[in-house]
Amino acid sequence: MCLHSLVIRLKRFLIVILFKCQVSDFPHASVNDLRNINMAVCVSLIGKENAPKYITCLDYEKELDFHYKIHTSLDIIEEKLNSSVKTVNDTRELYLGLLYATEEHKIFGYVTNTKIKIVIIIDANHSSLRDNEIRAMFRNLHAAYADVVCNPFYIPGEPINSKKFNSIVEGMMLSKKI
Amino acid sequence: MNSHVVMNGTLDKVTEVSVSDRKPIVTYAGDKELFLGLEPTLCSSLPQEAAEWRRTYGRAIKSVNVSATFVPFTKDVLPKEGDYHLIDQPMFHTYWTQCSDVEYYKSNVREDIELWMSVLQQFKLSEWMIVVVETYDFRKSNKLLPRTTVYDKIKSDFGAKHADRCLSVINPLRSESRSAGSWRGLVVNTRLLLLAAFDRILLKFEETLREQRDRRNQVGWSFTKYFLLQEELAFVLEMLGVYEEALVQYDELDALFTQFIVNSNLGETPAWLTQFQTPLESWQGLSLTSGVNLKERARIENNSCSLLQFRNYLFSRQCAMLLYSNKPSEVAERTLPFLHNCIRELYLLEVACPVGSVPTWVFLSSVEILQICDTYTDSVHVEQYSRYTAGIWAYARQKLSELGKLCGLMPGQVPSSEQLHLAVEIFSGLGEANTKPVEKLKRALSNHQEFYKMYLELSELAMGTYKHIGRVRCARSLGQDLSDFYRVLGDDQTAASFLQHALLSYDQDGWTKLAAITRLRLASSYLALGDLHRYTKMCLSIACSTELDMPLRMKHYSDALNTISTSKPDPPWSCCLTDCFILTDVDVQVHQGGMNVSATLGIKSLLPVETVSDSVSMAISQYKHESKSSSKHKEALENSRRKSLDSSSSSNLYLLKIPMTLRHDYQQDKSLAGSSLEVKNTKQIVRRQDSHGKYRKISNIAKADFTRYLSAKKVVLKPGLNSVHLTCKESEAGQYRLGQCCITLMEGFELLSPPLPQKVIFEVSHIQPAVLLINHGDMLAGLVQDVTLKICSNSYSVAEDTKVKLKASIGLELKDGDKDWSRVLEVKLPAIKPNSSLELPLKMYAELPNIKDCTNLEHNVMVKNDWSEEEHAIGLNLKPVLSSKLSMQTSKHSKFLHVAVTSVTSLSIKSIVMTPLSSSNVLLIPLNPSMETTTLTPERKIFFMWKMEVENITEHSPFKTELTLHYNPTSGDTTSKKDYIYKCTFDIVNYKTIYLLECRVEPIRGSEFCRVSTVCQLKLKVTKVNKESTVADPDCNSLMYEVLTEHNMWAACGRTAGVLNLTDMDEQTVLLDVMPLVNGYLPLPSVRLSKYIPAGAKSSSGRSEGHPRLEPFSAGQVYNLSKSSQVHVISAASPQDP
Repeated sequence: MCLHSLVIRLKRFLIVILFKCQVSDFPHASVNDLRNINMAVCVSLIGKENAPKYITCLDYEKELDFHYKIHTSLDIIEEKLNSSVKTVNDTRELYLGLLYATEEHKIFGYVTNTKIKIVIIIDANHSSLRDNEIRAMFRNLHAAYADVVCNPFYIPGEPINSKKFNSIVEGMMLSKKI
Repeated sequence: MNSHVVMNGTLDKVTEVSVSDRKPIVTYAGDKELFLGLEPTLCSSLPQEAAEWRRTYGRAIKSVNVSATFVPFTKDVLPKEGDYHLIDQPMFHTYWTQCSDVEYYKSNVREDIELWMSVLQQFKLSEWMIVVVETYDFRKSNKLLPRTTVYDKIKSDFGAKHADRCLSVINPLRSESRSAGSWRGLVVNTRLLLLAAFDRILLKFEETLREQRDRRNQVGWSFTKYFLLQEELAFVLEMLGVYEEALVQYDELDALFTQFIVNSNLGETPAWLTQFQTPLESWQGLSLTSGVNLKERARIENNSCSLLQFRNYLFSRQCAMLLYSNKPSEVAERTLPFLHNCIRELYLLEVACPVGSVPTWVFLSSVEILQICDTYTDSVHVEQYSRYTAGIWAYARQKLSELGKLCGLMPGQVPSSEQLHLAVEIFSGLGEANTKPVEKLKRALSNHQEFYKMYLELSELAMGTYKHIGRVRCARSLGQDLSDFYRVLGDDQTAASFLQHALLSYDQDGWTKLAAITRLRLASSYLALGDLHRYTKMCLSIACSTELDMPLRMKHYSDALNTISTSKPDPPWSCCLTDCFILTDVDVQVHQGGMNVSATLGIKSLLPVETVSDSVSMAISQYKHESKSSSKHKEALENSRRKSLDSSSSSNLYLLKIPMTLRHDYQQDKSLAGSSLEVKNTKQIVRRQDSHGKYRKISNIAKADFTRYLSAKKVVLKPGLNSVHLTCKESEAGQYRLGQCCITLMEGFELLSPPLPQKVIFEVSHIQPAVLLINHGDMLAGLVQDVTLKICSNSYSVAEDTKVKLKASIGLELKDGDKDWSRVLEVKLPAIKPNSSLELPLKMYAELPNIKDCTNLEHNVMVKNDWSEEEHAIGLNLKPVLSSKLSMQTSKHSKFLHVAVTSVTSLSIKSIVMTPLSSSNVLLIPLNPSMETTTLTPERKIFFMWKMEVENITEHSPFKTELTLHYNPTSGDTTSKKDYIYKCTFDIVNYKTIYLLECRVEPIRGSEFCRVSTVCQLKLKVTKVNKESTVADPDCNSLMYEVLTEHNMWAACGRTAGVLNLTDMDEQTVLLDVMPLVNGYLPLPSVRLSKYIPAGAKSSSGRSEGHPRLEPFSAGQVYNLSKSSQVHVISAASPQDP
């Protein structure tokens, strides 16, 4: 039984590798980008069906608050996904931009082609963060997520529990504190 | 009137001027009377059509409706160096003349124009136009000489470089009809020249602005000054009606200001910025006016403006531009970023803000914006701005609640004196402004009721708008906030309903943590409401929420159990099974015979501790399928082992093995075109799962029909996976479908599962009890046989004292134990369990029928039982134990009866008696040795012989004899019945000897011996025994003889058959030639005598036959005297042997 599932997983792994080879324009950010990217106070990955796959935040006391914020941001993500009449060039645009803002935070969104949503909450007082930098953060997260999924021991649909992914996310949140 | 003066001087009277109502100022010089006459026409015709404003640097061409205000040309109105109040300055200068006399022009007008031009040049003004108003003159229409008119002169004098600036127009007041064309030309040109003038002036002004802006990092530079300067540009654009351009100016200023503040946070703060860092004293809300708020502008000029005031002013100007452009939705769109930005700037600049000031400002500003939006009732606008106003409503509501908390107005709060004081302070910062938003705020903060009303109104509007734009999650989130408000207010019902909606939203999205938190709140709401049923449900759900701490879960778990045990609900409360348990696996087993059905459930318990369930049961219902598919279902049942998995739980689609098949595609010429792997049923794998049906609904699941069910009592369910074995006591035959699963807790709480996602169908088939009669070996008639009555209960349990009635066919008797023999037997059965059998020993006796042969006897036993209406027969095949065969033996006139008795089993027989029946004149003399008993075995026949003596031989009537013998089986119990008697009746007919037949073979005369191949004589002699008999039987008088020869022994010559008539004689002799073929003792050729019935004679049956026929004689009628006699044949005589 065990062996059987292992074999299936390994097969899947091979398929994923093939898939990765085919997708040439896969968002791969170099590791160097990571050093300058930070200031997220909360990073979350939300599944295709809107259930959270991964949420982590800087300040665990505010965790619940962030949950609420991300959950409501799903409304805007859906709105953007549904309403926007995308042109041909636009279809490859995964970055959704600023979803909404509160006094303290700005909430940015990103949706992969498989409808995995990435939401990052940025401290609103950190206004020097540029759009490019936020995009880079998303691209890094996307790449990190793709790595997680490529792991044959990861069952798609389950919450993410990967050290590597954690460290990438922590790198985005921890390097500079206001 | 100079508006600049107004701005500086009469602050108290006029607080607002509208820039867009202003018109560009144009001076006029020359013939003033002439111009004043034309002015109304010109003023009205200028804005009638839009002119294209072509601008330098490739900026977008704007279509502008130009209008103008005309002022007399004086040196005072001309702009001075460094005065940048552009809208107050004349931009364009005109000179009007109607001089038609060239001489007069040369002497006077030219001088005047030159003077005018010199003034313009002095002021470095180059935007001018000279208009020559002419009177239409027919005589001049055919001009022969050019350059002879005043207009020509003026053109040559002044318009050397700018010919287009000198215009000629026919006075429309004098001859309207002729002037139209030239007048239009004038108007068009005026527009273009005026716009060109603006373009040039603005270009120059922008240069100035750029210079100013470049100096922004120098000491002494002030943003406010720069702001006012650039705003002049915006004013001009606004005046011209190019609001988008004006907005761009304001947006630039906005961005610049924002950047300064952000930069100041990182580096040094420029001196001018300190002005904005003064503690906040006024927090008046945003006031959207279409005009320029002069009071605020003056404050900016005086550097006495606070950050909020400045921001208010700037944003109101931006909004004004947007509203002019008819874009209320953009106003709404910009509102929240504006408010957030301002708050951030207050924070960045470390402005001391009194408590409550910022929320007040936000609230007032939001309300102001919302009011403006409300004035746009057009559905297109409403649709557009609703996307943004929802957020504004929510924000205003949030700020109001902050204020409410500060002022002690939230439910449960009683304002303290400090809080009352704070309210006063809040209003003190609003000055004397009494706008609608302020009134609203004042009303809201006046007392609790008004506050609640306002708060709920805002909440309602925010939620409503959110729902309207489809942001349900936002609305739910607000609702959850609101539920807190209601709870403190004591309205738990409303609070609970909001929480329910929020919970639904979280559950749908799978946000377990938020759902768990909401459940906690909901539980306390239900508890407060006294809705113990729902409270228990929530507690159980909470106990199953792994997101929460274990102590919290345990507490709610015990609370739930306590509530159930104290309230003892009847009928039991119920909730959805999936809240606490997950049905992972169902496996139904139907046991052989179908009486027992059991199911094994895989139940995953989410509860934190071991739980004892009173009963776990599963409803079953009769499954009615379409007749066609029945066989299919059965197959499916067998194949799938009636096993199902809850799709939502354990089966992970990603780990499924995909059923792939190999496929080859062939071309027309049968060559392989391609091969591929394909999945036939793609729907199973590629089906969309996200968008339908997966969401669990928190709805009350009705309890299904539990009249038939499988159940298990007192089941211990451990956290995690459990295997529960359910059984069913009894069930009728049929197809069943597994239905709802129900787990009962504390006898008062039922957890009901939703219907199973898969159809689990099983079939219970019932077999009627069977009754059989079994014996060992062949059954024999004539002896008592031991048989076994076997009752197989099969699917039924047979109750005690159930009767089975056996009715045997005639000739067959049954006996049970010590009872009497009888044909009908009733057996009372003990209780028999299903699938077992009972064997009852019975005795059976079949009478031996009075028959001679040993054919089998057919008997049957009818079985009638209590459980079935129908009788059924058990067929029996019995072999007679004894059989006998009689043969008649004759010796001339003597007759002997020869009886062979055979048996199929070993018997001892005795008292063998043959008694003639019905004929007293027949005497049977036994020729048997007298014996007591003798043993008969299947291998050993016994023959008996009697001599028959008939007293009156003449009668020879047929009679019957009866063989009687007593027999007993040699083995087995002999006690069961006394001697068995075997009787057999034989009919004896035609036993009298009628003819004697004698044959002899003799050598022909002269020979001594019969020799091979020599003709001999067969002498056949038939003698009638009794002459009287001919009378009795006339048929017997004609005889047919047939000589039947063995072909290898005898060759018959001549007639081998012939008819003899013995009617008149007693004896007939026939001679035949026969020839022996071999030597030795040869049996004589056999001769057969038959009755010959000639044609036409009446047969015994009384029928006339068309042709003669033969009838055989009965045995004994003809006695062959020479039977088995032989003749000695010697070999043929040799030629030498005479």
